[in-house]
Amino acid sequence: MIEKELVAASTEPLVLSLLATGESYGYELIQEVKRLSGDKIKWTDGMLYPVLHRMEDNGWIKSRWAEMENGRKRKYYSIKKDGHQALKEKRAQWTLLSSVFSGLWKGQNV
Amino acid sequence: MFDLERAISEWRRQMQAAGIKTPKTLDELESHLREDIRSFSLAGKPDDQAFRLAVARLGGPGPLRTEFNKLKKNPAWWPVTICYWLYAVSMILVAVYIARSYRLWFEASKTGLAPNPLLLYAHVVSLTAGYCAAFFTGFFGILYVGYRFFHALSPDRQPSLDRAVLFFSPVSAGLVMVATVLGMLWSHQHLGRFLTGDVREVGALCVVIWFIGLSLTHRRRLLRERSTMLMCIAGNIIVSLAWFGSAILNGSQRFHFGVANYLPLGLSVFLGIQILFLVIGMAPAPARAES
Repeated sequence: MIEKELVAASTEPLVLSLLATGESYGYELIQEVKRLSGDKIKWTDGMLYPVLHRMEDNGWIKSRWAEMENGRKRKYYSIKKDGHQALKEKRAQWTLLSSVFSGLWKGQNV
Repeated sequence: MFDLERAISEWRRQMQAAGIKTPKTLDELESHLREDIRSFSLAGKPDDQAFRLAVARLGGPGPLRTEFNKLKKNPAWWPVTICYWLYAVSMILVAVYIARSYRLWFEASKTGLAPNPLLLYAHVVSLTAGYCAAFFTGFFGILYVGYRFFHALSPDRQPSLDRAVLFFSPVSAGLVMVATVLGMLWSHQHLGRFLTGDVREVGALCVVIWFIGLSLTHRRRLLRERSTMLMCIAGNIIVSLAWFGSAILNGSQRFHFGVANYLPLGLSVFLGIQILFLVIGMAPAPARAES
């Protein structure tokens, strides 16, 4: 299981990366992260929504309500231009970290 | 017999009681809860168990409220709030003055032919509003540099300055751009050409370019906060030269509030102060003892 501090730090880049592939909603985002991480990244589901709202306040993503077939409404999120820029920056940071660790651990039996 | 709808209503009431009161937020959380209940039901769980599991996975009202409360924006720093009010009040005063002048022209036009000054008035209002917005942006730069010299800027003050610059810099660029177009139209009507080669036109264009650049770099976070704030101060220099420097150069300084004789001196002092703050801002922040 991944430590909660690391999960928290990676939430925004994960959401931005998923939304960069297309519009989605909270529940689907959580399921997708679970699937991609083999259930190793565990969010407390409700905690995703304040993050989504903050990202919306930052102007990175936008939302719209859509009616489903059963008449209930669902809130969809999609990435904005500033979100792509933020993703680019976060991606550079995480790639750098990843390459630093790769360099440090290369050949080590940790 | 377990009633799912009643259980969801009760859950909603508990969330509201805990402080999550926004209906749209509750709707979104409820939508999530229903998705999870559905997924547990499809996996063969009875309704009551599916509900309990979904509520547990969504998280308790206390931690959720804490997270949502973090989203609330800190109130603006008081000098910034004063600037917003000053700008609003000064713009109302300018609009009232222009409306009064226009009414006087309207009364006078009944007795004889007088050119309609509306276009010129609109140009003057938008130019004044644009240049004033630019000066407020510059003031935020000075505030940043001055405050930073004595204290570390607290985490809630910097965003307040950021938001103010994000508001005033595009407002300034937009209004000066509108004023320039209106001025060109007026010039075409009265002088037969859009551009007259007046130094004021060049000044206005420089202001537009500078503040578009400031807005874009700030919005896209292309520069660090200190560089942005120094750009704001440099904006003061450009606006003062565009507004008052051009008036001195083309001899129209008599229009400036009856202080024509003091304008060159006043402008020099103002420019000196801006350069001083630029230099202070470029220097590293003074070392402070950890408290």
